Amino acid sequence: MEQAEARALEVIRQDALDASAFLDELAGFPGGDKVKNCMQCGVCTASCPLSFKMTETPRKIMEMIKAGLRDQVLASDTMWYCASCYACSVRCPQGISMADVMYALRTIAIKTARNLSAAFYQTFKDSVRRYGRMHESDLMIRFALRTNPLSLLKMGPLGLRMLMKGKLSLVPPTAIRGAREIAKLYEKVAEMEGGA
Amino acid sequence: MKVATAPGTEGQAGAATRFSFFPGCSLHTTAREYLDSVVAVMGALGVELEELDDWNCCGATALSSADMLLSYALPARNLAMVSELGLPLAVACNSCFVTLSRANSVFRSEGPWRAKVNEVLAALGRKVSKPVEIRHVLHILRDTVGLDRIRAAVKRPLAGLKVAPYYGCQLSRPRHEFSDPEFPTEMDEVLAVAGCEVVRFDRKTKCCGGALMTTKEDVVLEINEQLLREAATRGADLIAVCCPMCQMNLDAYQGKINSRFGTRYELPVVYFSQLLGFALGFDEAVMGLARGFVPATKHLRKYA
Amino acid sequence: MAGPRVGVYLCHCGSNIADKVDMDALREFAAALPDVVVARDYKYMCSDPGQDLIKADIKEHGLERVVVASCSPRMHEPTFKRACLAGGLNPYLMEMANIREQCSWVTTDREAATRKAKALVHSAVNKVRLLEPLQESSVPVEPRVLVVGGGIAGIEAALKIAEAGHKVVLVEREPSIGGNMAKLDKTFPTLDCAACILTPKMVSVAQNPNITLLTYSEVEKVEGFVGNFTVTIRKKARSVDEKLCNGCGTCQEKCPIKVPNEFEEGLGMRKAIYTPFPQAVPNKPVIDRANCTYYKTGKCRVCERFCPPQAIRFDQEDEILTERFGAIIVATGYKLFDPSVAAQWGYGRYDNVITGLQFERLCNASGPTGGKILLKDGREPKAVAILHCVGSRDKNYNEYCSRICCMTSVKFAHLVREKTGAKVYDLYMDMRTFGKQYEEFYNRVVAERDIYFIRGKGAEVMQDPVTGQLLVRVEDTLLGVFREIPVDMVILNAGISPRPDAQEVAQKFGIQRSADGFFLEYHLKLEPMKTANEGVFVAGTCQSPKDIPDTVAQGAGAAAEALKVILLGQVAVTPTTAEVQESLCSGCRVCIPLCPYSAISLDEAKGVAVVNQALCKGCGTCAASCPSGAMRAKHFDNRQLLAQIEGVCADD
Repeated sequence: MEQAEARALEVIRQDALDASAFLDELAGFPGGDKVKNCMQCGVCTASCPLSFKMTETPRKIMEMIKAGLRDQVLASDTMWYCASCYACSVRCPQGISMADVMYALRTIAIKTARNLSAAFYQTFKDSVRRYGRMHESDLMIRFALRTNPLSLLKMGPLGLRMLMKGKLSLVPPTAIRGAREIAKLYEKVAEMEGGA
Repeated sequence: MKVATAPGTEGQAGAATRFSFFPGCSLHTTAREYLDSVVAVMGALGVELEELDDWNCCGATALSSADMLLSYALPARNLAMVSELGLPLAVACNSCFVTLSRANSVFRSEGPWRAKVNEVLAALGRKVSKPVEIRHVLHILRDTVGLDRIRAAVKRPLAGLKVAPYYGCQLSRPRHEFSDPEFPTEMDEVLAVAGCEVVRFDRKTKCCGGALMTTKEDVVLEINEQLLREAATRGADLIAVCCPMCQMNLDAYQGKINSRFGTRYELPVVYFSQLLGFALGFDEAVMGLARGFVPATKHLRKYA
Repeated sequence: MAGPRVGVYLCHCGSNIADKVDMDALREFAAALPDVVVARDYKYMCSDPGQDLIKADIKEHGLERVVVASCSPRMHEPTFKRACLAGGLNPYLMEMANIREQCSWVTTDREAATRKAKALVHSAVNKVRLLEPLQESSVPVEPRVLVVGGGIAGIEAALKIAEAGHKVVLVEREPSIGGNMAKLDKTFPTLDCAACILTPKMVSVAQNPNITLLTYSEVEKVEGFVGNFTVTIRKKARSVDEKLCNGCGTCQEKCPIKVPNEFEEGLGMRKAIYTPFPQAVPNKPVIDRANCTYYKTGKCRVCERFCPPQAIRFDQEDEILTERFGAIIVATGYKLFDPSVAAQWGYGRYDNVITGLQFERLCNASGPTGGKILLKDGREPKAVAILHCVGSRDKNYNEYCSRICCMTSVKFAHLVREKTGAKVYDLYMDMRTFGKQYEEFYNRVVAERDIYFIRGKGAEVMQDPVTGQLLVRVEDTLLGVFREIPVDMVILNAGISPRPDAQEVAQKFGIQRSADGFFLEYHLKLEPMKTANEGVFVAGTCQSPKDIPDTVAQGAGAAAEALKVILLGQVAVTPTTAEVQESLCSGCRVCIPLCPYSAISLDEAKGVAVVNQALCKGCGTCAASCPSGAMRAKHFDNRQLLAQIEGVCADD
């Protein structure tokens, strides 16, 4: 209860919220330019398979974006629950691709977020840079090492069964022939994005 | 997003039957049986699949959550290689299909992302000048090979085998090439010509949670239980899928779901191509039908 | 030799023109143009004093041509034409230059505006010197009106015209008039029974001697022009002699064939020989030949056997009528949006997911359940969900708002409570209760017990695979939570859409459609019943979604428009038409198929083209295509147009 009240007061005092700046930032992403059209119908929330677990529903996030609450939006857990199933986008009566807005929010937030999902996506990104392809065993091991090494024990039984069924390989992964090209690709992207 | 109209024409025999093939990272490991069965089925039906040489990971949903430009540029390397070959590209994994299509769409018009992606590719000495034709294997089977040819090639129709067709979410959304964003029929039709009794499955495109099983296990187990529950209630003998992530979540974690929710599901989850291959006469081992955590073998005994 | 004496009038239009265009400079410029004997500027040329300037100068200065530089001709061309006429000058010797919409209103650059205004005035002066006087003529008007569509809009229009003492033919495609309103149970906000307020009007239509009611009939072709339309109507064969039939209904009782009844929105059946509903007007049945056994196999004929007045006529044929009318009112109504294209709401997949019109039939005492609200298996529902905006306000289907669904939903909520003990969940994005006594009605219903208004758009309808219970998923946006509500019945308030044959109908009557598919009115705010085709009017939901009060108002308004046409007895024929210079015409016939109004024909005897001056609208297509220059567009001929161009380019 207390936390909710504090947040409400915060909004009232911040008359100078620069909603336009945040909207412009999102407009630079594909699908991020129609946020203002949102009529708050809630179809996105009601179509989302995971919205029942989110602290702020997708619809509420849209309203928070329109109000300029950038920090609160990026700190929310909503976008990390998004599975990119596009049910929301397909049904939105205003034709807003909610799933693409979620992608945009994650790519902005990932730079400062400290949670499992952010770590997972970063690990994936690094893993692919190394080998050009994603090797499940390599990904899971690195992810565990990065976040919680003990989780490897939890995954153990499942991993073992998959090994036995030939679905997993503990052979160290080899990079594709074009691995250096991939590295160059990553470098070029980083350079274009201003050393992000 | 507009509702799609049914695309393609059926049984276009004489249309392109040679494809460049993008397996994606899962098909060589956790989804080996998908690769094996697709290659076998396509071969039997006269479709040539040539694995794209030195392909790289498409990035799936992970990269578009980490870095926007990278998420377009990385799959675009594959598109650049395919466009040099001048062949259409066949894809089996839903996630790869949607990610490659997303990158491909950038080349349909003169937008800012097209220029950016081409700038990245230029640094590698590559470029994409026009969109590549990307086809999911379900469409190749239904529209290029045609249901009639498949039916004629079936050696042991799987009559009486009740199958719940589970498409997953990324196949028919947001792209509009499939017959309906929420109730597509392509897999139903292909399974039906293999002789299967396709049961009603209202949740056929409800998301399985995909990669979130790793980071949000609790809630993803919950939504997968709902999928299994409906399939079981509809009397399905097994669930047919076309995506490695859906297969993993529903199959490898079925044990965990049972212990978590006190349920007793025993539903094999197989790729539709494994069933189709089996119907075309390939034997169980080749189709990898025992490789699931919940093996499918006992349901197929009567068709031996 | 001096040319005709030209007077130029420059309007300030308050500050609209004068604050961008240097009026003094413009006036001096105009005065110096050849043949200009008077150049004046004035604050408001369209005002009485402004017009008086023109009238006075024509007499005093012997003006033979007038140029008015002001706003768009669409605003005041008739005004200035009348002024010239009043001053004794042929109104077709007046030319306008638009120095407002095409000049002062589209720039902030004073110098550029003044330069352009000069060019436009020069151009107008050049043209006006080459104009010739033209005479308006008139043609007599056929004093009859055709009303197409027998719903409440068409009924209202027909009655107003007939009660004014004029002849109307009302054509209706279905076997009975009444339209969609006849399907309703109660109407908001008064909760009047729809049939009770509609049927007296239907009976009036049948009884009014000035109305010829043609039901089970369709318009096949429309030719002609305002005041003189020639319409071909097909009176489909009822297979029943209407004069003998007394409406006893025996045939319907005896007929062995049952087919789904369109009037019952698929929920009930009718016979192959049928009247669509008990209060049908006319109360004469029709044989649906596609389903009647006799027409398929030659057997049965039970109706004929049992008909007391022996009125069955199996070999009756369609009748083709050709009628003349002065004005036409199109009131063809709407079709409900079909939610089967939207899989997420389960329409067509789950039992007990129904549309608003289907629910009306359930409520209606003469409907398939005798007025009881029942599920498909005959049980009474314990919980009902009502969804607003199904197919409306949705870029995936129809972007517009269907206007009546919010009120309809509130009405339904009330009716469910009145007739059953079910809980009601009304899922809305907004509550649009805009009309007279609408908000008060909403406030009444909001206070009722066990009706839950939830602000959120119903996203999907699922079914519990084990229990079969329907589940509606919505976000309660005011609370910010996801809700899954178990209900027994879901009412989808599907929106109003244009009918599927709207394009065909529009083409038949020479009218256009707006982007949303409804018929296009002449002006959205000021002329909602007129169309671009003079003499053809629209009324009711075929023009846009609306409720009954607005439909009735438009029906009456369209009647006034039609009466305007026929009461004047004559219709003016604008003389700015095309004309054939016979000596130059080789009879090549290139122009004939190009004319959008089919106004040109070949005079076989003379071997030259002939233009029907009444049909011609002066579009100029024929003149532009004529290879020999024989076709001349009066008031816009080549010499005049070239002079205009020279005027524009002269001062650069």
